[in-house]
Parts: sequence; structure tokens; C-alpha cells
Amino acid sequence: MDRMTKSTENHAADTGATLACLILRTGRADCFAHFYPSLYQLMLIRDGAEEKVDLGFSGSRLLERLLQEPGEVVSREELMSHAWSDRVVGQGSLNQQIYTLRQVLADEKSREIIQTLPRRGYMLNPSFIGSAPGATEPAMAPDPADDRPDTPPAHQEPAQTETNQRSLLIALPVCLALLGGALLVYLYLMSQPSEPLSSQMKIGQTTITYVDHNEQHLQQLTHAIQPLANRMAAFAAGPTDLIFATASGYYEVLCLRADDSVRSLMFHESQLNRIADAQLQACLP
Amino acid sequence: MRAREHRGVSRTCLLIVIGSTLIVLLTVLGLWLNFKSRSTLDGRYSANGQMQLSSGQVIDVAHTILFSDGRFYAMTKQGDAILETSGSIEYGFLRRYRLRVEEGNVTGLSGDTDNELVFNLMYGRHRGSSIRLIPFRSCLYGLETRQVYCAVKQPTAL
Repeated sequence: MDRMTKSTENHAADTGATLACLILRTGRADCFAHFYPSLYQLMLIRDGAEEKVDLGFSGSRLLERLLQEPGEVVSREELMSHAWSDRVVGQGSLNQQIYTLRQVLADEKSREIIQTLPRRGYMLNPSFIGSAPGATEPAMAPDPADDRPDTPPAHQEPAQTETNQRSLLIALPVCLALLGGALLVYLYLMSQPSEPLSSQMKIGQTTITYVDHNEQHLQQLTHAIQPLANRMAAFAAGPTDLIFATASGYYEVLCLRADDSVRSLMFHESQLNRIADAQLQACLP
Repeated sequence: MRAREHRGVSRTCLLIVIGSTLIVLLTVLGLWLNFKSRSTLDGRYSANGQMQLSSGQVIDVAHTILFSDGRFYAMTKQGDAILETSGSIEYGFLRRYRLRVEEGNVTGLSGDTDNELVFNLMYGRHRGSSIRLIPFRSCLYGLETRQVYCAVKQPTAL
């Protein structure tokens, strides 16, 4: 027992760099199991035939913990924290894993290898532990008959999960910040006046632009203001830019000058045909 | 297989993080490039013109505004009516500005002025009212109050 304890302690210190194997007797007299903790595997050997069984990370850690103190009772809490160190699971998960181990070891009926001590925990029967011949991984790793070539070493699972969780922790606030930013930009753009519609025409050297936010109003403006625009174009002495718009019953004319200054002319819609030439000329450069 | 799934998930997360970071950086860069500081408005702007009321009466109109340190001080003269306002400039993204009126006063308003014009003057003097400025050429157009302001040649010579 001391020897086995020592052996398992050595293994516990060894995180898998040098792979050792523990031999267990199973419930069948002609069957032995080689346990490779670092591979999370059991190799069942019966009549010279080998059968590989993947225990998975949790199952392997469970058996490993029991093997660390054979003949000693290990509490359920201890087993759960050892086998599922990266997450919280229920009692059912432990029961299921113990059942699976017993099945693999042909112990599900007699329950002599993994013994249940009610309200205390589980204990591995040391009499079922064989010698540790120090079988090495190379005998197993290149096995071409491996039907699960993509199965990873189970010890990568928690690390990988942790990496994924970290990535998600980073991605989540970034995504939220992006959504917030997009919302702010959207609200900002919504608060801004929409770009007005405009139509442009040229009369001689005069460029006339009609502006309105509504297509129909733009057409009405163009139609209504056309005679006035013609009059102003006739008065223009050189290249001239005129902008026409309408709002709240008033027409607006902006006369843009070469020096970037502007003169404006506003008149009530009822005055459209009563604008004196002098006013038009005063607006023009 | 599970390792591949994990690697796939991890790679996706990594791509999301990198992509999101790039988008954030580009957005910040875009905002920075487009943001016009309120101080870039600083200076004096004005425009003159005429207005013909529904009664046929023609009056002179003058708009003057001064932007300084994120604040504005404006005066509009319509005939005998004078509107003076002051307040703050709220933001300047994509050359769009909004004026927030904090103080305003109208004097000389006569009873024969058209209602629309009276409304514009009253709106412009009311505390809390906002006036959106639309830029065109070197000028700004007050959307709510129909005021035009064009940069004076020497804005710093007050």
C-alpha cells in the first residue's frame, strides 16, 4: 500500500510529462486495466487483446483521486472539486461518473473495487491495485487504430474553456460599446435636419437653385418662382448664384456674391408678383 | 473533434474582438476627423437684406452673430424690431451646430408685422429654444428662425 501510495504521489507530482501507468484488477479475473492518468485512458487487457477506453477528463480525475489514497475514504465534495475543478456540478454527475467507472471495471454489481461508504464518500479497494510497470505513452500515442484521432488530451479542456470565456468577456463589452456607439450616432443623425432636395437650372450666367425638403413643394416652388427667377437673371450683370426656398408663407431668395457674402430677400407669398425691380437689383451683386 | 470546436469558437471570438476593435478605432478616427471644434466657429458673421411683408411694406433686415468660446451673441434687426439673444453652441459634428438660447429680448415690435415673422422672433428669444445651423459655402443658415449668417472677412477684428 505504501508502495502504491508513493507511486500515485509520484504520478500526482507528474503532470503528464512522463507517463506512467497503473495496473488495476477488474471484476473479471481474466481482465486487467492499465490506467494512464495523463491520457485519461484505461487500457483493458483480456486474453492478450487490448481495448482502449477513454474516461474523459472528469472520470479520469475521479479515478486518479481515489488512487491517490487507496483504502482511504474520499468525501464526495473532495471528489467533485477534484474532478470538476473548473465548474460546479450536481451530485448526479458524480454518481454517473462512479457508475461509469464501475461499469468499465466490471464492478457495477459487486461494487468491490470502488466502494460506497454511505454519507462519507467513496473508497478504492487497494487489493485491486496491481504493480506499476511504467508503461510509457509511445506505445499508445502512435496507435494507428485509434478511432478518435481528433480527441484532444482532456487536460486541455479547462484551459480552452477559460480562453473562450476570456475571449467572450472581452468581446461582450466591445460589442456592447459598439452597439451603444451606433445608437448614439443613429440618434445624433436622427436629430439632424434631413438633407434638403434641390434642383438647379442655369439662365445665362445665373445659376438658380431651388431648395425644399418635399418633392412636391419643390416642384411648386420651381413653377411659382420661375418668372421672378427670369427677371433676376435678366438683371444679373455677371456670374450669379441664386438660391430660392420657401417657408411659413414666405419666399426666400439668397443672392450669393463673389466675396462669399450674401444678401437676402424675403417676401410674403401674396407679394410674389409685386416685387419691385429695385428690390431685385438690391439683392443682386 | 471537440478541440476543433473549441479552436473554432476561440478563433471566432478572436475575430470578433479584432473586428470590433478595428471598427471602434475607425469610428473614433472618423469622429475625430469630422468633429469641428466649437472654437472653429469663432468670429463674426452677418448678412443683410430686405423683407416685403404681406402688407407690401418693405423693411430692411440685418443679422449679426458673434461666436466666441463656445457661446454666441446674436442680433437680428427687422425694421424697427430688434432681437438680441445669447447662449451656447452645443456641438459640431459634421459641421452641424446647434445653438441653445439662454437669454433673449425683443424690442420695437410693431403690430403690423406678419405673424410668421413675429413667431420667428419670439421663438428665437425664448430661453431653451434651439436653432440648428446648416452650413453652406462660408455661411450658416438658422433653420428654425430663417436667419442667414455669413463670415465677415476679418472675423477677429471686433
